[in-house]
Amino acid sequence: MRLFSNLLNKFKMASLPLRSGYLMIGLVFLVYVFGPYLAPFDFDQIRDDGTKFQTLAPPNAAHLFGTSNLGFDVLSRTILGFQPAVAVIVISVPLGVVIGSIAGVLAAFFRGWVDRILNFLADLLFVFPALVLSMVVSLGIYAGQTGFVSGVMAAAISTAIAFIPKYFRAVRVEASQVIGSGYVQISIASGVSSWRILAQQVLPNSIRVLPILISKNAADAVLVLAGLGFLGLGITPDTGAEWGYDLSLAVGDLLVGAWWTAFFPSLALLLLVLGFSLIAEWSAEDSLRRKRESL
Amino acid sequence: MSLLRYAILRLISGALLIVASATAIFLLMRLLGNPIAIALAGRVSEEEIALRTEAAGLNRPLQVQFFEYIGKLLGGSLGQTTLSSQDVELLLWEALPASLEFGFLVLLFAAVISTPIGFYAAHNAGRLRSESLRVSAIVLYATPIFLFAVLLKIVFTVWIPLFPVAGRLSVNSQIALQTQSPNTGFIFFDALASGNWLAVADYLIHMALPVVAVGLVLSASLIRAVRVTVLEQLTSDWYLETRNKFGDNRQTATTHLFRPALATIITSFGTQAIVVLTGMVFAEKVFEIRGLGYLLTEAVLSRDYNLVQGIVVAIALIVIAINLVTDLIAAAIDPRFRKLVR
Repeated sequence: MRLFSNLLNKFKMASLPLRSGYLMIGLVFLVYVFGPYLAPFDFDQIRDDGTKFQTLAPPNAAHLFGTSNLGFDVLSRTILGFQPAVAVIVISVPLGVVIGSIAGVLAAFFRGWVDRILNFLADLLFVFPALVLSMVVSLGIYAGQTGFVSGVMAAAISTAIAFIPKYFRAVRVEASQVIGSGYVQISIASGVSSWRILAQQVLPNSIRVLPILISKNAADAVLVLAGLGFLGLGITPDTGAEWGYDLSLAVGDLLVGAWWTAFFPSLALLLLVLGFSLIAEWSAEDSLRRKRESL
Repeated sequence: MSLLRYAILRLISGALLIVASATAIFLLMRLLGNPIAIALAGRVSEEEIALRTEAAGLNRPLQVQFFEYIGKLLGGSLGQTTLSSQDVELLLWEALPASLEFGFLVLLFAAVISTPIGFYAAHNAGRLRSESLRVSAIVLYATPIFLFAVLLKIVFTVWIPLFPVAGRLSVNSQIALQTQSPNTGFIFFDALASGNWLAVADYLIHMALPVVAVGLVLSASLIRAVRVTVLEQLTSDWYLETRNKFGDNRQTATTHLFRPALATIITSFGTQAIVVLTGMVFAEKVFEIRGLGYLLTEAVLSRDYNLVQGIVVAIALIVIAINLVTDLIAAAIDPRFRKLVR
């Protein structure tokens, strides 16, 4: 209850763009949790009660978002597409955050060669675009056999790798300031072990900068998954519902005037990415403004 | 740090980064599994795979293979494609000009669009028009490039047929350019150098949609970078002091607003290089431009292990080179950028 009222309070304080971002992600969360119960059909269902679905049927009473070229129900696939999208975020973000922030704290604390080597490694990871990396990784996982798990893993790992340097740099800067502050210096002087200082004082106080990066990471993870699908490398339509792959198949439908197969998956993708982007862009500014107002 | 010292150190770190990334790619690719098995899985028998693995020397110790790979790389060779035994570097040289010219046009387009808009947004910060500009930039930024490219293609080549559907050049101009010199494969350059204005126009018309697709999304992040930098300058004591002393004239704006902003814009080009490359993979696929991204997609789809490895090495080299150049230019403009670790 306390958590809920805190969230509500935070929401009320937010500016309009930030508020819409929160709303969008809230909606995403609801559709993710209740999607499997909401979706009228399975993602690969092409018949019901023994009758085959009409292919490429426009939106109608039986299929509110119409059906696709393969005879899938577009509404069900749009709703179920939230499953891999959220899975990618849930795997990618913790992976990047943990590795990136631990490395950042270590670099700030030990400085010298540790700092230099970790910085070099961060520069190295920064060279590879997440999408290209995910294409390479998808080649390796199950020898290029694309499926639900391999598609999600390829996108999640690659995006995490691409974001490790960003978490690293942000935490490193923040941690240097924390380490320079009085209470940490006193702990060092009074002989508290380095690991204890790092774990109890530096790390918790250095990760305040992370929410913005996490929002960006989430948005990018979804984009990489959808991008893989669009190139025909991610989750294939018969192994899962994924918007990017559906979109690549829907391009041909547009030419014959069937807009619904492309429109609804795109809308879902936009909702997710735009929600996180709005939060990333405005949350920093909002907290600054509140600080100024409270002075 | 003096500019010269910075440049030398930056060059050394760039060279180290090249070696490290080549090593990382080799290790990653080997981590993924047996190249022959990946390329041919399900197409030939197990015995055939074992035989070919042996013949390709993939049973030898890893370090032997590694030094062979590095040795070849230093000689400019990236080996042969796994599937058709063509030289990888030849395929790369064929694809590279298309991508380099594409990337150049994207950067040019984005710089021209985003600089004035970023300045405008910074000058009107907090007002409705600036905020709505920001929201539209974010919407643009959040739009997947492949979605944007598909929309542009459908709208402007099918519904309103203003632009050609795919490719870089129409057949007539292709023939014209092939018989003219110079014939380097850089179509835009060739057309300009030989004074074939018809081909120049033809090329630009073909590239208009792909460039807009990638360039607008890049502009969205550049506008943010410019806006933040200019805003910082506008509220800095340094700028306010100068403005009070000398007035709000062109000279003050050039030295105290434009120059510091310029350095940031140029380094943003470096950090956005990977965004541009990602966008180009999609745009090259949608508009069938046979560049590096197109080749990469084809290579991964056909599971051609060596070709993928070669393309990723090339992409890493390009990203490192772009970052090196932009860092050096920024350091020349603004001494604050002469730091190796930022």
